Amino acid sequence: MNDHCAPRAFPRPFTDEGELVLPRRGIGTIRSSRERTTPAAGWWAGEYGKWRLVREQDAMRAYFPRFALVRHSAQVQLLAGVAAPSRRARAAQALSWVGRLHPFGNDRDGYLVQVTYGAGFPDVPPVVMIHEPLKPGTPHLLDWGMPCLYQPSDGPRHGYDPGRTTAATLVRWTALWLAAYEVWCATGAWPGAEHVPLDDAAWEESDDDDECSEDGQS
Amino acid sequence: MTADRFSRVDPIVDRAVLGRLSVLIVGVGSGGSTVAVELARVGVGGLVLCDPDRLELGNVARHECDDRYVGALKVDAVADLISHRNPKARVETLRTRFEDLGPGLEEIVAAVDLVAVCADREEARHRVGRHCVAADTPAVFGGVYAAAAGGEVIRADPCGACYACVTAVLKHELPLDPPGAGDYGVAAQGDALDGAAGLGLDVRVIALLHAKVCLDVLLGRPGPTATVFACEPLPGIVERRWGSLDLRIRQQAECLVCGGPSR
Repeated sequence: MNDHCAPRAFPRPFTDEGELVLPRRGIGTIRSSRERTTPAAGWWAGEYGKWRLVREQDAMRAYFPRFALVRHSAQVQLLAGVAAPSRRARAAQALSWVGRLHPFGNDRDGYLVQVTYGAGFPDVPPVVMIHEPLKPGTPHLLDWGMPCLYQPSDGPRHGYDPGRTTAATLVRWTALWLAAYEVWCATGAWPGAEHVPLDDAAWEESDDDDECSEDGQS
Repeated sequence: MTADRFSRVDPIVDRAVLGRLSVLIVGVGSGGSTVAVELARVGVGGLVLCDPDRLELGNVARHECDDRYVGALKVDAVADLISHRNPKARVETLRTRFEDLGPGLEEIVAAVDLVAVCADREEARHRVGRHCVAADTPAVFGGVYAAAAGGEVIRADPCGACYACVTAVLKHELPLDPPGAGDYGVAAQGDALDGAAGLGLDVRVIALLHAKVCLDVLLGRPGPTATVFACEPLPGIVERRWGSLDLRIRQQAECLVCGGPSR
């Protein structure tokens, strides 16, 4: 296992009873400049942002029509580690896609998945969170419980691409991650190579959506 | 015999034209400082330098500024060098990260004739590239690969492929890690400023190529979209030392950066 996704203790955003838990402190390393620059209006307010949001919605409707786009306070976005708890950041709004994924299309409740656009979107990738208790020692997790969806050591050009990757791409990568997770739960072995190059373009172009199913969450 | 300081430049370039043009240089690290000074040397009249960092002793082996400037802000140090190369150049310094400019970044990008992007992190490069698309301002991106064994210069013209279009192609065509967290320009927030190992002369080779492409853009000369230059053999890409690879890349269909409302 690589260091970048070594399992580590992290505060879960929800208790076992489903109660929302806010971290006591902010994300210190991100705080200083973002809180001065986070536009309270959100990235989607400008001409480009409006256009980009439509493209994001089109992609999600095409692949994950039951996912819901929710607008919320950036304070909730803080859970994903992408905003600072400054007054300005708290006043800001954030957008997230929320829905459930069933990695093998079974009839279980599935996994509640949230994809949050950070203030730096689209230059900075959205943050994916899986709001379900995962087994202790789950591999391939980053800080704050984010699934490790692509191999950072492959370089920034081999994962998220602001010119081609939409939230739908990230949800599909998450579905693949969850499928691997369930295999790991059952067998103790994470399937596949240590890292599988995930070609986002291939994801977007593929119509093969049979690997997972999804339910909406409103 | 005395001569004007530009007497050996004037026969080659139209300095009257260059004197009216201005360039924003994002990051004045080892590569960015060379780009800035070289553009001043050929007579570019306006230079806007953006970098929040101070020169450290560890920078001196590769940076244009020597140990006399240690402790000074890099933008101030480079501005001082420029004042001795081209005293008539108008130099503005932005002692901040470009992310911190907020809406001011858009205004500055729209006001200049070219943006030379010497930032190391891909996120930062995409950010500047996107603002350049919105402002119809050309941009030239430079960076060095690991150990400065080579580097790349990417030219994003307003009517052509944007930076995201180019990198989408490069990631399939070139099995190389893109320029990383060296100190070619300036690391974005959260990056260590240690800088990767690499010889200053290798960095400077790429930076000179970067400056030359900037000059081409300013003078309206055509050129390839991306150039990969090998200071050492780059297996599978440029096998020969001192070899290069030129790529002409078209705007990608349905690009989510440049396919938007600004075009």
